[in-house]
Parts: sequence; C-alpha cells; structure tokens
Amino acid sequence: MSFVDSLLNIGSSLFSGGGLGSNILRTAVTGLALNRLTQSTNKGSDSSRTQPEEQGVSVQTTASTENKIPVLYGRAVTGGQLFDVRMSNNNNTMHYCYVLSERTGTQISNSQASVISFNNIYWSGYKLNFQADGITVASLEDLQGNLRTNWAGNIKVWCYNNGSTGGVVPVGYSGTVPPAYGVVPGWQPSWEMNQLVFAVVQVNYVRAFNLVGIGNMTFDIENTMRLPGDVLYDISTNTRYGAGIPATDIKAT
Amino acid sequence: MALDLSSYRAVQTANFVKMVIEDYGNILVSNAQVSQTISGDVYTNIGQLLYISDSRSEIRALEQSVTVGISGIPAGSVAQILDNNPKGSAITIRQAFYNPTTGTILSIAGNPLIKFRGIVTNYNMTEEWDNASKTASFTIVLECTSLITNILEKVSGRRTNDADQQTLYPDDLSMSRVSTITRAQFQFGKPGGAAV
Repeated sequence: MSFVDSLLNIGSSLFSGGGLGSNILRTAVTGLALNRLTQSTNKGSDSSRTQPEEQGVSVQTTASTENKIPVLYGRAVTGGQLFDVRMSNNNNTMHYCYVLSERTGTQISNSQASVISFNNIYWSGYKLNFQADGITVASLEDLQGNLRTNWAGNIKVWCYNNGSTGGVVPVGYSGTVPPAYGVVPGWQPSWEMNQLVFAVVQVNYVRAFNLVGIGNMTFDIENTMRLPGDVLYDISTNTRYGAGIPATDIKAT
Repeated sequence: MALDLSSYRAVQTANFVKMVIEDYGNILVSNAQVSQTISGDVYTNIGQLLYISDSRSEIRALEQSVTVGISGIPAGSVAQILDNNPKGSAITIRQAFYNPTTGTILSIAGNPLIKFRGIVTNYNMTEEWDNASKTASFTIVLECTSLITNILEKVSGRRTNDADQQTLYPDDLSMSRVSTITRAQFQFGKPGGAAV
C-alpha cells in the first residue's frame, strides 16, 4: 500500500465512522466546501463586473407651436419661449434656444430705434456671472452673494437683440458674439430670426458636478422704449405685432 | 367736427360710399341726385338704389357696424361681383352737405365728413324677379364693421411656429423645428447616437 492509499483509507474511515468525531468532521468539511463554492461563485461575478454604462438623463422639451412671442417694453424678466433644442458632442452638449421678445420699432420721442439689452440672466434663480467674453459662465450666484464655481465653463449663453446676426453681451461685459448660425449646431444662415430678441444656452453634461440638464432660465431684459407715448404709438402702428393703424391716421405731435 | 350750417336757409345731404376692392378697383356710388366729385373721386349717383343703415355718431371711438345695400344690379354683373369678392374691402362712407339749388357741395370746413370707415366683413345677394319684363335684378347687401371693431378683434403677432414665421419672412427657417421638439425626449449624456 502506498502512502497515498493509506491517506485515503484514513479519510474514508473517518467519514464513514458513526462517532461524534466523524459527524463533526463531515459538517466541517461540508461547510468548508460550501464556503469555497460560494467564494468561487462570487469570484466569478467579480471577474465579469465593469463600470456601469452612463445612461444619461432623459430630458423632455416643452416647446409648442401655439406659444406667442411677446412684445416687451421697459424692463421685464421673462423666461421666453423655447423654439429649438439641439444635442451634439456625442450627446454631451445641448443647446436651448429661447425667443424672448419682438424687436420693437422707432421711438417717436427721439426718433431713435429702440434697443433691447440684457441686464442679467438667471439659472433657477441663480444669477449667472460670466467670464470676460460675456458668454461663458464663470459662476452662479445666489441671493446672498455666494458663488458656485464648479460649473464654470460648462454653460454658455449667447444673447441676440436683433436676429441671428445681432449678438450682444449682457450689460457690464464686452465681447463679440458670433452669429447664432455659427453657434447652434445644424443652423444655417437662413435661420435668421428676423426682428426677434432671443438667447441660446449651451449646457455640457457633467455628471460629477450634477450638471445634467438645464435650469429654469429667466432673462432680465430692458427696452429703451419705455415712454407711454412711444409704446402706444408703436403698438398701434406696428404691422407685425400691433394694430397696424396707418401712421397717417395718428396725430403723433 | 361740427359743421356750421347756420348761414344756410336750406341744405341737402347725401351719402357717398367708396369701396376699395383689391385687385379690382374702386366702387364709388352715392345717393345724391347728381354725380359729385370728392377728393378727386367721381361718385356715381344711384339715388334710392343705395341704402345705408343708421350709424351712431359719438365723440368716443366705438365699435359699430353699418349695412350698405345696393339695389338694381343687373344680372350680368353678378358674376363680376362674385369674381371680385368684396369681403375684406375697405369702405368709407362720407356725408356731404350741399346746396339744393345749385347742387354743389358747400364749401365749409369739414364738409364732407367721414361718417364711417371700416371693412366689408360679409355680403349677401338677393334676386328680384320682374315677371313683366322677365328680367332679374339683384341687391347686394354689404355688412361692414368699423376699424375699431377690427382692431379689437384683430390678433396680431407671431407664434413660435414655422407658418407664422414664414408668413412674415418666407426665407427664414428659424421656427422650422418647433413642431419637431414639441414633447421630444433627449437622452442627455448617454453616449452614442446621432446629434439631434
């Protein structure tokens, strides 16, 4: 009998025995085997585990073909009407386009064209502070003046007060705003936005900083046309958004 | 404007209707006894064949409507009327005071005055058959509303849709995607997929 045969015999006699020692040994070995089996199974799972695929966030747009484009005089805070949304950059960048107001006409009080400027822009109540270009967001500011900077560079806002080529930066900034058709993916020069005031908001997807969608955008804009006579005349005579009364039928002086 | 007629022992009035039909021309008729020229327009006198309903005259600008009826239209002219739909035509009704003896319009400030200005909102035609002559004539009744009414009912401005935008600016495609993105779903941040 070889050494190996002797060991097998010992093992056999131990397992086959009816004593307490044999029972304890059988229980222990069975537990050990189960434990090893469980570990083996877990190990198999570990070996196939990978980082979960980024599923993104489902975003639903709320545009409507029945939304009316407002006419804003004086100073107003408005959310605007959504009229285009684009997703690009492997679905990591979205552009939201909001129309804010009709461009108004000439003021009869001084014969100058009315101008609409952007005072402030808000993201869910947080004021957006921009970098020097007046386009790229540097920080979000709450009512207490606290700054949140971890979204810096991942939000951009382009403002236009006279169609796609009428880009302006918010008050207090200086910079050149490119035509909107050079900003929004898919737009061509025929996206003219004639006689409209609008804004384009770009958002990058940054899961790490919970930037996974757009906030509630509001725009604080100001029209130089604010005098009652100017406004009444403009809304009475304008053929695009007003009553279209011929100027000859109105005694303006 | 109030007219000062105190120095005249007798005056006569007549109404003058000017209707501007797009792509057709002007229709100028009056219920005067003779044809009259007002502001360069020669009004054909059709006498009692012209009917104009009463209208209010108030200082305030009011909504009002007026019915203008023109009778005695020969059957041969019906097709011409139907081909040139008078709906939407601008209509101006003037009232003139003139000398009954000379038939000339009184030369006083404010004469003739504009009694009503508006547009034709509807019309209807009725046929009158003359059994004796075996001929038919027609009466056209124009329903007109004042400019004030039109202004109050007018809906102007743009909506965020392609049709409104293209009506004003035929080459402008800015609103062409609104219907596409109405309740559209975007998987923001999910890798893959074409740009939308």
